[in-house]
Amino acid sequence: MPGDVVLVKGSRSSRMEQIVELIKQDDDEKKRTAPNTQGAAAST
Amino acid sequence: MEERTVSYISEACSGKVLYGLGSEAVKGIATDSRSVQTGDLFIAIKGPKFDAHDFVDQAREKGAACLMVDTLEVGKELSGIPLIQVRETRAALGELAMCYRRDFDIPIIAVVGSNGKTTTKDLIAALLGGKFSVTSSPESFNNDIGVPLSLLQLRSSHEVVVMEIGSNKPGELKPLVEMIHPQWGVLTNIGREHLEFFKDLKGVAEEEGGLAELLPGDGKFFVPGDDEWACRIADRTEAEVIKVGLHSGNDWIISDIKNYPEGGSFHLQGPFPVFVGEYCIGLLGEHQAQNAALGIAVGAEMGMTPMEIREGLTSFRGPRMRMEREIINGVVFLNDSYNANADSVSAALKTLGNYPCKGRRVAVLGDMAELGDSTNSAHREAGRLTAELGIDRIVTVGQMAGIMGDAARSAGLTDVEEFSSAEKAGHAVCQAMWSW
Repeated sequence: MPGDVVLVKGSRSSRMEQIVELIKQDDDEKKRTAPNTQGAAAST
Repeated sequence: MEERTVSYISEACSGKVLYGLGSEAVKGIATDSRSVQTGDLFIAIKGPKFDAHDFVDQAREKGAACLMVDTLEVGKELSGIPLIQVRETRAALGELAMCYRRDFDIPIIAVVGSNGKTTTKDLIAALLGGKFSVTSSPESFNNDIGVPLSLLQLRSSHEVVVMEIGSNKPGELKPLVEMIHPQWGVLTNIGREHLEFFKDLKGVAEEEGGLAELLPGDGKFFVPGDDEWACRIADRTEAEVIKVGLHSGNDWIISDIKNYPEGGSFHLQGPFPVFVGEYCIGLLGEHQAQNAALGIAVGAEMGMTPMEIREGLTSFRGPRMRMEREIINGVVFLNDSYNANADSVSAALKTLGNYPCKGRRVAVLGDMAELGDSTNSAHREAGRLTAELGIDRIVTVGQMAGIMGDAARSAGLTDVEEFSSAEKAGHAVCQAMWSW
């Protein structure tokens, strides 16, 4: 949730950086597929 | 690398020039065939996954001016380009770098320690870069390949060099110090690193102290003066010792450390009155005040002004995946995923516990490697500390997830989730970001 603080930590071999990458990809995907409400409003 | 001949390179590493006259010019060094540039020497090093001898054709096609190999069968196929054969290419890279370094009368500052080497090295380089022409180790190039590659970046125009040296096992550090031949040294800390090989803090200190022993008498050695092991190491050097820390016995005394969302500040009292005052840094965690103070002490001893140092500090941001602050959909991620040991996890958890937060604090912790006999106890400590610091939730990842999770529960934390892999944890965190 907005306002949370998340620490991601682990040895190199644990590949914890994947977690941050997955979260970024997920966020990008959500932004990409979100309905463009501003565009819809402009067409009416 | 400044231009050298094939003969220079061959003599530096006791090699044999099998093809070529020896007078051909080499303008750079590459150990990865994909990064070869025209005029480079390509050194074919055998690694755990690949043997670069398999890529010498690719290196030649990309414009390599010379090849260095240790396998004669490869050399036989490669006429038409200068070829140096050595006994072992990985060792030859170091021998070449050691010879090349002796061509330059340039002061080198070596940074060692269990944690914070790359951040401190980058910070010192950034500070000194405000006054001098500086080169430094790229990224975390700190082993027997990274150190020589860093040294081979040296040019006559450089005025000072900042390099980090790492060690995973006893005996690795001293040969790298001898290769670098530094005048000044910086020790960041002594912590529980690679205990599978160093056994205990005494073993870590024995290894990291190799730098102290090899510094010259007219050199300087900057140490964290509150650290008992660092002080013992300082007794092993002939160089001038400069201590930095919180206690009154230090030459540079840190106080009044404050944390902000994007960094911190601290007060510093030092041997030069002009340097007394508050300093702001864009780094997270109280331990970074110590690293920054070490950098300030180095800058001051190098003749920089407080204004020059403050400008460098303010604009400096740490390397990637070291407490890297990223905001995603309103959630602040403290990405400290580059590496971990028991002490760096403890420091990171304390930073999380002190971080300004309007929502919940969550620790996502993966395994710590190479801990030897301390493996179970260190993971239990991480779980327990998470609970004791009042972190709201812990997500544990990997083979030690159960041990960390159980320790957190035993210490009173109820919001605990365990995953076998980072990928599974990542998908779960994605879903949970909308429901925590």
